[in-house]
Amino acid sequence: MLPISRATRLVAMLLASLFVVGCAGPAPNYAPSIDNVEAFKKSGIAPSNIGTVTVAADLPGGKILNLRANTMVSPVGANFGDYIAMALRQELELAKLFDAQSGLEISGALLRNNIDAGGISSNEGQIEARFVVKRGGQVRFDKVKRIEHKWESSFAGAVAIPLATNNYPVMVQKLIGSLLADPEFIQSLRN
Amino acid sequence: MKQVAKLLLASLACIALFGCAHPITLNPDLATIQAKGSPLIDKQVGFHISDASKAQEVTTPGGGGDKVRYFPYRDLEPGIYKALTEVFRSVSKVKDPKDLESLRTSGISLLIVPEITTTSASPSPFTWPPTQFSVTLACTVTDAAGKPVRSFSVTGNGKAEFDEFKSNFSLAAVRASNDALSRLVTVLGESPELRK
Repeated sequence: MLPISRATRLVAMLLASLFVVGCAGPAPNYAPSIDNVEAFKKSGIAPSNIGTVTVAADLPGGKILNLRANTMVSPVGANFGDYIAMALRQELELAKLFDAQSGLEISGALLRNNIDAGGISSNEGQIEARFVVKRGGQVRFDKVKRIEHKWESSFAGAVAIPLATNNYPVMVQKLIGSLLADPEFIQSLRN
Repeated sequence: MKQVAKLLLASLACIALFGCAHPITLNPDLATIQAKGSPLIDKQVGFHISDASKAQEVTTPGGGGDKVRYFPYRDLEPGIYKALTEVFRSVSKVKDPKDLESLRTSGISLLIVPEITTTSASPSPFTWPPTQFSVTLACTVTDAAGKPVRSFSVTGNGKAEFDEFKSNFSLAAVRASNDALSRLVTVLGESPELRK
């Protein structure tokens, strides 16, 4: 047995518990990016519908994101594909460009959904998704978009885990922003 | 060695128990921000929140001697936008509220500038998430010439007990945001000055 004092073991246990802090909870409500909303408004696109953003059953982070000993789930639907679809819908709704009856539909598939929350000074996350625009069943746009996002973090789980959680909506804002920055995406949604 | 371990343990206990500022969000549930069937005011309005305000992080009390920190303007901006779209025909974000020429050329007839203040508290000595939260939106409304039209403020309150917030530490704050924004919709919709 290693010559470790009880006090040292206690310190190690306390350090570990400070670091991990186990709990499960939902991601924050999506906060639409007003810059994205304004970009939708100025883009000249036609009112569009939002379809499904599918998630493969075996996609790591598709349903549950692990943040140290915590887990985070989507507050809407069954997985983070539903969160992204809802985010797109909310931004279109605020721009008054959502129409559930439209023949134009944006759908997609979540390909990567990850947050590394284990860092003690900074953490990062990545989302990768395929977006498809169809009109009357015909594909007009089909591309993969990928974003990375980094933020300052902390050793203490009670700070690092909420920070990771709070940065997920920002990651989704960036993902939609990358889609809006693609002129082919905008063109595919014009009449 | 024992003394060092004790010192470290005491320091860790201090870090764990005191002085921590835990990040939370005020992100409202946009679905709860709805006008109660009144017709839209046929006006194009602008609202202004500066980039400096959006970057401003605020720290207020939580429970157990800890604090919570958050970005009120960044988190509430989409909710304010949604509240305005529930009342007015068209809403735009204005970058420079002093550029009256730009306001006129873009067809904006009213400019709304919100100022946000918050309070939080928790009587719990053991848990840090706030059990009580308030959000006050003080709004000044001017016309396209910069002339004051109306000033008002609304306050929303949110409460959450341990059983509710154990999986969502921001719950009291989110409820306060939802309440303040719903009140904003009501006050805007019931202001005759804004319909003139």
